[in-house]
Amino acid sequence: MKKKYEAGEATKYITRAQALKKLQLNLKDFRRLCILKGVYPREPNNRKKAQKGKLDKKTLYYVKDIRFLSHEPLIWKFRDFKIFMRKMKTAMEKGDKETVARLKENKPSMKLDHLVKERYPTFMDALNDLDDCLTLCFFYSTLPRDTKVPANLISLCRRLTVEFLHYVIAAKALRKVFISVKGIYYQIEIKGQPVTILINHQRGFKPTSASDVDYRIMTNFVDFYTSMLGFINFRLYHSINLQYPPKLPGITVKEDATDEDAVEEYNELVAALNSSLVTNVPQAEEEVQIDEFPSAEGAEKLEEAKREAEAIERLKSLFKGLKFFIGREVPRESVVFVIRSCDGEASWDPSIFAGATYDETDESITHQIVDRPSVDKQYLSRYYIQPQWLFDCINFRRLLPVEDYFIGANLPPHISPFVTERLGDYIPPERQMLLALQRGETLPAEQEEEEEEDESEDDSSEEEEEEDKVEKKEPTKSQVVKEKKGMKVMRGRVEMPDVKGMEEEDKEHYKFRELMIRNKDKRLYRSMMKNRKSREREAKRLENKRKQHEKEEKDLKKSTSSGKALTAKWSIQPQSATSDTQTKKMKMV
Amino acid sequence: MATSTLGAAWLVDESDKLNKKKQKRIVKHKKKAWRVTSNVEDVERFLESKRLDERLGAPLEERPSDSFFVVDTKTEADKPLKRELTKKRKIKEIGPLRCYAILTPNSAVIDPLKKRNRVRLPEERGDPLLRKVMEERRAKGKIPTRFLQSMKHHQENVEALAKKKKPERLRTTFDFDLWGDAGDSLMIGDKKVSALDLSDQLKTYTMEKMGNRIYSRPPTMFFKTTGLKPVEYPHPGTSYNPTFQDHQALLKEAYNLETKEMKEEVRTRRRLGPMLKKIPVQRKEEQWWSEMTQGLADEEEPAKEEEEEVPCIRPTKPKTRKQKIRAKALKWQDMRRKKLKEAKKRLLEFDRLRSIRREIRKSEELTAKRIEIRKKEKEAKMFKPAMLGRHKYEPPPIEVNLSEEITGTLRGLKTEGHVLIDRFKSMQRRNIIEPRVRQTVVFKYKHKVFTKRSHSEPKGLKVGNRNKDKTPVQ
Repeated sequence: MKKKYEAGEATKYITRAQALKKLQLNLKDFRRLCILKGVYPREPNNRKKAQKGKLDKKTLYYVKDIRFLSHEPLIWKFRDFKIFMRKMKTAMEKGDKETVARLKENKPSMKLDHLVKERYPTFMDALNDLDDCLTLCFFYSTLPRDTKVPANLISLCRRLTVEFLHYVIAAKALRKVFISVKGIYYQIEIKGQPVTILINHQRGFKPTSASDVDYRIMTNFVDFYTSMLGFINFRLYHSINLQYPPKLPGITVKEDATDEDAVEEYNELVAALNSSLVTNVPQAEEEVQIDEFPSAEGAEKLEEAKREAEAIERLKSLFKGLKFFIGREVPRESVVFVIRSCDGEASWDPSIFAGATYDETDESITHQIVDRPSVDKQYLSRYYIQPQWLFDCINFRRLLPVEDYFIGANLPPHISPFVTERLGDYIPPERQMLLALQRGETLPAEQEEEEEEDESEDDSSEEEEEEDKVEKKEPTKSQVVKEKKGMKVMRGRVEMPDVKGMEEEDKEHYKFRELMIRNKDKRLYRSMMKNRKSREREAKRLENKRKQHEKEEKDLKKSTSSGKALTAKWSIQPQSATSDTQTKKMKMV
Repeated sequence: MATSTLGAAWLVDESDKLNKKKQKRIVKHKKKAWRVTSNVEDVERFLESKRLDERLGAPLEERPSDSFFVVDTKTEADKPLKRELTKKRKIKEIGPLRCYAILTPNSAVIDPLKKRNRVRLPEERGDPLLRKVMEERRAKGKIPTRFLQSMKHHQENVEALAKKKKPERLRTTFDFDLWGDAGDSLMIGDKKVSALDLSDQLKTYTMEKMGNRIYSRPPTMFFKTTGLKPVEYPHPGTSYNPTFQDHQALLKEAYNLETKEMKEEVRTRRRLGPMLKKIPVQRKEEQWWSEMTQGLADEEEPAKEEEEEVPCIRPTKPKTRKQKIRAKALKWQDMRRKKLKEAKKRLLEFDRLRSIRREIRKSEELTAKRIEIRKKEKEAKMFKPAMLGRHKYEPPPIEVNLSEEITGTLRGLKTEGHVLIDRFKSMQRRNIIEPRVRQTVVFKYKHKVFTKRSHSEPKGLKVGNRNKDKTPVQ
């Protein structure tokens, strides 16, 4: 008779305790090995079968994964380390200092190169997994020295992350920034891959309780990520012709210098992010032009892609020629990073950090970034602005008017650049503005004028505007065609295009197309439409709410009579995605 | 008065008489008798003091007075005012510790046995003649080459050790391209091959020729654990200076979560209501007593239990042969009847072919539907934390600033949440690590109870209480 649990699901899984026994490791080492190798616990489809009839929930792994783990040479390193620790302990307790010193000199070390290569066979694979790596490394670099984490790991993280920031600055790869209450989100584009990083605010270290986070586990992750990030940095630096251990021009410090202070000073200068690095070869400028492929629906998309590329090009040299001075109360590192990765120049008070290039008294400074209500001595030659201006400029991909961001001014809201709306969603006016600016190259002022010109098309998005233009052009064309080559030349009559009729025709066409939908897809289509309608309704409700809120705020401001109404500026564009649904629908069908 | 003085005189007389007992005469012509009788205390004392003097070197009177006193020539002002910071001094500097002084020989007496066997000092070892020759040579500056050699080697060793870098726990220098030629690759013949690209044949070949086997990752390792992004995009309401709508939306989310939790708590409270009674301490103790002594009361009166007579159950009678045959026949009959019925039904089913077809179609539709649902469920599962262990994943609280906490400036920003906790939770959400509850081992030693001697009653029974304290032995 066939025995139970000898085939299928039951043989696919192995419990953690069994795995420990098989690999002859303790739990601590096993977890470490799993993290380093990228082996994860799995949830079985049928737990009862996978656990051979037992019903309590156990942590399961694939048998094959564990078998693969058993071939890992790192296990022997773990064992070496165990023996080393045992010897150390004996020597320490005997007070045998000579042996302790000798043992310490021959402490076993591990290399994780082969694991990086194994988990990421190609460089692109590694880039795909960079989010986690960078976020953790950035966090570890800010840890205080007296935590449980080994101090050299913290300094290694700091070094690697600074190197990465230098790469982003050199490659001008920063795309989006968002300041949230948790930390600052950066989106960076490396070889076409978006990489999102979360970096904590530069505040004091917040200790966590043991029940929240297990530092030992996180340190294992960071161990692997440092190796990975080092190799990625090496490759990235060489891809843009930079010397890899980053070198500052003009300053020479030997690598094997014994003077620790000098090395530290040099490292600080590198961490200042304020000067470009030494290149290998004089860089040859490449102009990548988007290849044009003729495609059926491609024209519009191509256009869009082109516009996007142009906008990014603009973003890369957004702060070119601008000279910033950073106040002491502003988070220096993030601000310098943002300025420098958009080609600006920055300096600060030399008392807060090394590497300041010019003084506050420099007359050529164009912007001073200040985050306090007032400044005693102000220069007329420069704008005093709040740091949000920089971040908003990057998200909007253009230099915004500085008036809203003046010192002490009530700032406009900081909008997330990461939101993507679906059709029919409510889009707040600020966000609409951002979207429009990202897409096109119209300044808000210009747009205002446009609005005034054609108020009739007030509530239509840009895309529809384009279509309208096309529609407008069509009748003129037809006019030309209609001029027959008759015997007599009659005075032409202007035939007004039957807009209403055309619209109705369109609607009818649309209805027909709706009818043509296959039965198979009909239900899906209906549910989609239903959802969209509900979203539209919700959007309308929110819009009304917003209007009311603004009105109230205006009244309040009037009553308090303080400054101009901010919201008025933002409510230029009462566009919404609701109106262009009709056209979109047609496209879809 | 006279009588009293007389009495006193008498007393004196009496005592004199008692004291002046005649000493026993002892013959002193033998050594033993001398020893017993003669008083040599003063001689002994003298000799003892002499011996002490010998042990200490010389008698105090003979020693120069310089050895006892020190002339303090330094003035107070000359001494450095500031004392150096106390640091741990090495034993070499301090010399032997005071506590070991008692172990050192402190006698100045020269060993009377000149030839006593002892460990020679290094200078005394070896042939005295040879030693002399060596010393002369050394004085001239001639050192044997082997000494020179060993000194050189020693020097080299020391230098090499000083130069040697401290071993790092992990790699810190990255000086080659891991994904380039120098990365993880093998030389097979004159070709450089990336180890991961090897075919099975090449793998066995490398194992045979080079001795290192290459294992490739099993396909199970490539199964994705989640569809979630490693760093999820933040809610727009978490901005430090959010728009009104976004912030309200996020607040509402947080509020909903909170109310849900509170409702849950209220519900559990209501359900557990009768169980969560408040009991006064006394009642609790009583209950504890009654619980703990539950079995004990029965023991006292086992005799009282009356032995109830259990009615005897008669064992079943075995079937007779006749009965067996009859039962078998009946069974056969039954089976036959059933078979016939089945066959008849089959025949009739020819008539309802259409309805059967319909049934089949329906069931097929159902399976297709189920397959689709399962597929959808599987897809949805990719975006949820799985059950990886005993503990369930607990989502972190929503990070949101309250309306009054938003200042609108970067300086006044009140941070919420913790990046590391966010990462940790994200990894749990993405099924990379299983949620765990940290186990803390608490060593609970048994309390040892002492009674102080001063407080305890003296052991043993008092005479009067002997009978009272006797407890009846059970």
